[in-house]
Amino acid sequence: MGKIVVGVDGSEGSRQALRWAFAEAKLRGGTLEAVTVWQYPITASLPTFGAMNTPDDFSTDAKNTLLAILAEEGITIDAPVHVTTLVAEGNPARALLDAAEKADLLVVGSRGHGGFTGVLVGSISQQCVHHSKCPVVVVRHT
Amino acid sequence: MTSPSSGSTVIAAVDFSDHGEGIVREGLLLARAAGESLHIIHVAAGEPILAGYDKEDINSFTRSARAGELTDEHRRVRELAETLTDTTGVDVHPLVVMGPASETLLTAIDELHASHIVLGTHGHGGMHHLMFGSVAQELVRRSAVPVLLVPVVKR
Repeated sequence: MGKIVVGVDGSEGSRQALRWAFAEAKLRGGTLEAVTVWQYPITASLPTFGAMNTPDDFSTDAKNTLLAILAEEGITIDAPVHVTTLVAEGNPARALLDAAEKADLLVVGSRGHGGFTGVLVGSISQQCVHHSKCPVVVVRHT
Repeated sequence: MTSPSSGSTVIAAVDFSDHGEGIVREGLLLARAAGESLHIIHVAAGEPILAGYDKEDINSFTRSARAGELTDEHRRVRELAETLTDTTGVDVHPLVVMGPASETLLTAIDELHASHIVLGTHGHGGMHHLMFGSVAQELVRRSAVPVLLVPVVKR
């Protein structure tokens, strides 16, 4: 049984990637792993006088956001595809590549939150294509 | 170009100079899952431009050599398509087209009403931007349909 890994950052591009990945997993009778990645904000290196969020806070927020997106896209526990979630911290491309190490497909949107609007292919998607050992599907953001 | 009756197809762009099996395999997986046909497209290089040579002699030689190569490429794509249709149950169509690769593939996506395109990327070569492959890069930028990129690993 095949495994499809998809990167979700909440952008419309990543939602399109998620929809494609879910449909493909359903067609193939495979599993789907939705991966979201969080990073410490730059301000984490500044003194915050005790108001700093803990890693658990960031991770929980990221997980809740991911679950909300899945629900909005109609991907719930009773969906006809076995769906797992993964919340990782660090470099997004690295995390996606690690998650897809033994996957059949890694799915990314052509463009996420990052970069300028004029950039047609996001840097994370490009890094995934460059370094992935498994096939990568780039879903065009329309 | 002929369109399949089902109205939708997957394109696998093969280049016999690298490892096409992975590209064809991924194309078959997509096509089979969606109940679509598969077009195996080989984009043949155009005629070489021989600037600065006295073309009288060279042209006839390269033309016939190129014609021989094209016939060979046609045969290989056709045989591959026939074998795959017989063994996989997916309706596989062979196609050899000449022209600049990116433009030709983008045109093929339109004309065949393709749902996906599958192509290879180069492995870890020397220069960073060359790892992606200029055709793959162009397709990812401009294709309206999802692009499946198969890493071509150098052995």
